Amino acid sequence: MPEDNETAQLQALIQAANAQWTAGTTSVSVLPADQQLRRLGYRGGGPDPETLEQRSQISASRAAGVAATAVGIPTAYDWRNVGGSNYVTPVRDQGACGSCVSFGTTATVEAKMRIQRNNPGLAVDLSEASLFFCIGPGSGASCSNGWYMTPAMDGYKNTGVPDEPCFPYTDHQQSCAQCSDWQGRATKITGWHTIGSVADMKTWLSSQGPLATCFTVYNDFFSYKGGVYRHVTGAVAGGHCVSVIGYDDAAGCWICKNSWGVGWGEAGFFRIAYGQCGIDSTMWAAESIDETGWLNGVNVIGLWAIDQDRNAWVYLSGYGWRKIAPDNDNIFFDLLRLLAAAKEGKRPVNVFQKSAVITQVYVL
Amino acid sequence: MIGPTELPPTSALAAAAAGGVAATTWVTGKTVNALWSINENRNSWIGVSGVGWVKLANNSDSAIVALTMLGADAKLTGGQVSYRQESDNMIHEMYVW
Repeated sequence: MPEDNETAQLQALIQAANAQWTAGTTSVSVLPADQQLRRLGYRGGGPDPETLEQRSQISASRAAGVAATAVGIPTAYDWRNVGGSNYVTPVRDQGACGSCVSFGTTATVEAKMRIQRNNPGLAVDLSEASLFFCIGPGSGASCSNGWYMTPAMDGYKNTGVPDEPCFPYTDHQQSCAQCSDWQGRATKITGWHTIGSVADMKTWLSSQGPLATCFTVYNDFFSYKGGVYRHVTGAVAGGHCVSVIGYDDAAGCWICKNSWGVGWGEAGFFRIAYGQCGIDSTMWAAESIDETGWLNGVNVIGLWAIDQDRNAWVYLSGYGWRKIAPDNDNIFFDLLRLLAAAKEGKRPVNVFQKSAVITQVYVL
Repeated sequence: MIGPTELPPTSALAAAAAGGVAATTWVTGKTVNALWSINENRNSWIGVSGVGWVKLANNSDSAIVALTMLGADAKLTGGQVSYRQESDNMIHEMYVW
């Protein structure tokens, strides 16, 4: 369908500015302004390291040097295509609620889980509603006010977030209504930290997984269809958080997963030039998934041992290597023998892991 | 303490070499066809197809028992084995698939 007049004007400004992105009609650009503003939600400042303005200043001040990549880091990386494997979960839609912090952090944690388990096909879908409507209110999160990154990352570390079916997301302010057994279904991270140097961001992205970030959204961003975005025109709309899933030095951009559905941007993703809108002043890293809880009906397909006291691991199909509890000799040998027997007899096991160490085994 | 890095044989990624002293040798893609043990302290060997008898590292009680269990598993299942042999000709690290 033909673009409307406003979009045509925007496209003309983009061309005049020699910017490398295209504007068009998107699922968000068609909305009235007040509805567009509901799709943001990052407040900046507060417990977080920088305000939105500070983020923009920091990013802009080093934009010239951002393209430089430290020795040893790949010049491009994209977690949607690592040797043909896609570790990024599907694009979600926060709808008409300022819950972007929940979506940006959850997208980052979901990908990390797939990466840590070396299983791009892992069915992981965590509850953004649980994080935003159960953990969030303790630090002022709401659809109209938005939230901060620090309490969201703390929520993942200290409380944990259950799977989506435990509390399905709907885009309106509501009280916490998660399943009663949410704790037994909660995913936690072992820790988190911020990264302030671009070289360290790329090092993390190219080896550990995605990062969460926040930036200033201008009105032209709502009409982004594709290419490498940089702010051309329009006033500030507000702050927004997303997951950074890669970068590309040749194009000079970060590759990001948004939470506005697939009808916006590059099927829900976007590329944004280094140094733009405060995108890379600070990013947030989820260190690892806390592998604690029961894994049921899994198969033992590998064993490993070495010439060190009580150091043996098993490979669980779909999960990866897990260490066997080394508390004492009889504990270690009992667990190892049962797991080896399961492997030999091709029998499934139920194992309890505490921080990725197997402490209990049923051979079925 | 270090941990395993090798991925299942069907994976595209190859096993990482342990590195270390020049005498270190990684032997890969073998099977275990025999086991031997005796009433002597930490004296356990495995028979490796195409190679012959190889002794298991004898520096630790729990390590040699664990390595013996892995050898037994490999013999029972016929699974693929990779192991690191040092200049003392003993197996110091082993994967069984």
